[in-house]
Amino acid sequence: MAGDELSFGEFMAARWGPLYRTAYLLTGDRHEAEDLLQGALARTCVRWSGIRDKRAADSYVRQAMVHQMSRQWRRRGREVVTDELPDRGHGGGLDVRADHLALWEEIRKLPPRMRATLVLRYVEDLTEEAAARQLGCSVGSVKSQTHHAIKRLRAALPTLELAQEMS
Amino acid sequence: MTTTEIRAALTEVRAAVEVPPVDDVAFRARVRTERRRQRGGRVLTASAAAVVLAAGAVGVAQLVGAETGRDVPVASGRTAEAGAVAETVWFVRDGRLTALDPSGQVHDLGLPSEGVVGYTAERVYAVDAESHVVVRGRQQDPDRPGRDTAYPPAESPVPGAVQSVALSGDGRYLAWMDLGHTVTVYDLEAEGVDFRVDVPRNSYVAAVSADGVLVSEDVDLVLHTATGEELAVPTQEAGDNWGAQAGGGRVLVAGPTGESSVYDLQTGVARRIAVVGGGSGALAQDGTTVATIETAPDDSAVVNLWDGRSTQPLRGLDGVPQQVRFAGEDTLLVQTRGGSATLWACATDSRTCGALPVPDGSFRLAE
Repeated sequence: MAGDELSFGEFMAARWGPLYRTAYLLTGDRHEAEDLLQGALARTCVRWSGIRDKRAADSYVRQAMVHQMSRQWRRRGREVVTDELPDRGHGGGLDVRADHLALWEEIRKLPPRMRATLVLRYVEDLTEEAAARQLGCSVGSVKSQTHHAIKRLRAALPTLELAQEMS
Repeated sequence: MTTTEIRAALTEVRAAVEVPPVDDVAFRARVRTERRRQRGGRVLTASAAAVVLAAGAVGVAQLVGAETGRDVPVASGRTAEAGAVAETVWFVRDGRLTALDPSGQVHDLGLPSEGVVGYTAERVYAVDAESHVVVRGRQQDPDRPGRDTAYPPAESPVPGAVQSVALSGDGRYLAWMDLGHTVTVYDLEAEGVDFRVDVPRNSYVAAVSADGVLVSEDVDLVLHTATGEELAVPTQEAGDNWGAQAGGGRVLVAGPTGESSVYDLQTGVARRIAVVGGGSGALAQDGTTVATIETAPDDSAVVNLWDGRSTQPLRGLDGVPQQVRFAGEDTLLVQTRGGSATLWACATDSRTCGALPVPDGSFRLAE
């Protein structure tokens, strides 16, 4: 099927699952993930005809999610690290290795922007430049956010001995 | 351990997350909200869709709890002058279905509502918070003409939640798109389905009239008729047919370029007969009059009224127009925002407006 023939309904049916999973990694909460994704998809839906390359719509939705989260960051004024994690959201660690689960619990405690940086860099495999565009920040900010995220994770889980790889 | 472990942990969690099914009702409600937001954003570059009236902005009014029969006094400050309505008008105020009767009383039905689909002298059709179409009748005080006493629930012809819905200007046809992709046109007078048509999933019902149902189908605006014909209506710019309304054999398409086009469909093709300044508007049910909001670069705006021959601005409005809606053929409702926000009733023949005695809140005049 040519990209410009893809209907929004087909796109949503095919991509709801993968995009939800990304939303979950961004928010760390099932309900917030669904809310975030629905909002981003609704924005995409009403602008669907204006998206020239429908095959790139994933990126559009992801960026809409990140932008929405950015607005929330700005409203909050500053990011607050919390130890309260009300929703595990992944079936209590089903199919997740114990050490990876421990790492994820620490990632969930990171400020949203740091967590989003890790997701874009290490799950979505975006370059620093592309991640910066999606986050609406500089490349330097992506580098520093990544650096500080790893530093915090290393401090929280010293036995994991995270190496400071930036690329 | 390296950042590869971060990647592995995130990837593993990502794969383990249970994905919920799409909540179609909630999603369609979000889409409708987004469309409303988009419309508001285009017309009003510097304002939010919802408008909050400042306390004491409008004249003496009483807010009546229609469900309980309690009269609730509200703030007053300015007496409405020319603003008056011949029949009860409906809108959503602070998220609840609200009526203003001809006697000037405001009735809060206490019904959470996304928007008003349309209304006649006898009943109103609205979309509730669960995307169901609800219907309320109207009972009047026999001793006090123009004063409504109750709005009893009436049976809705719509069986389930809808993605979009429209009522014809004459109140005869109700058209809705269900959670599948079927559009049903219902004849309220004959109390039966007029016709059904399947449309692409990402469509929405823009308007319905005796001519058929006008459906926005991604990049196209299509009039589907009862005889199965399809008539394409140009939208000037793909996907921006958000302001489409139909009536009297005509269609109004309010586009993002700051102008609205009026098409005549009588000959079986969409023939553009007029262009009116303003990127948001309303078409009278008989198709003879168009009201548009024309915004200037400094964010000031006027309401233009096109009567088939010429375009003239309305007089007497105070504040920046936000929304317009016809209430019958002779009255145009306008909601403005300034330091406060006001609802106005404007006579289309004299082009003059007067404020209505509606207390502060955030308003939505249409679905």
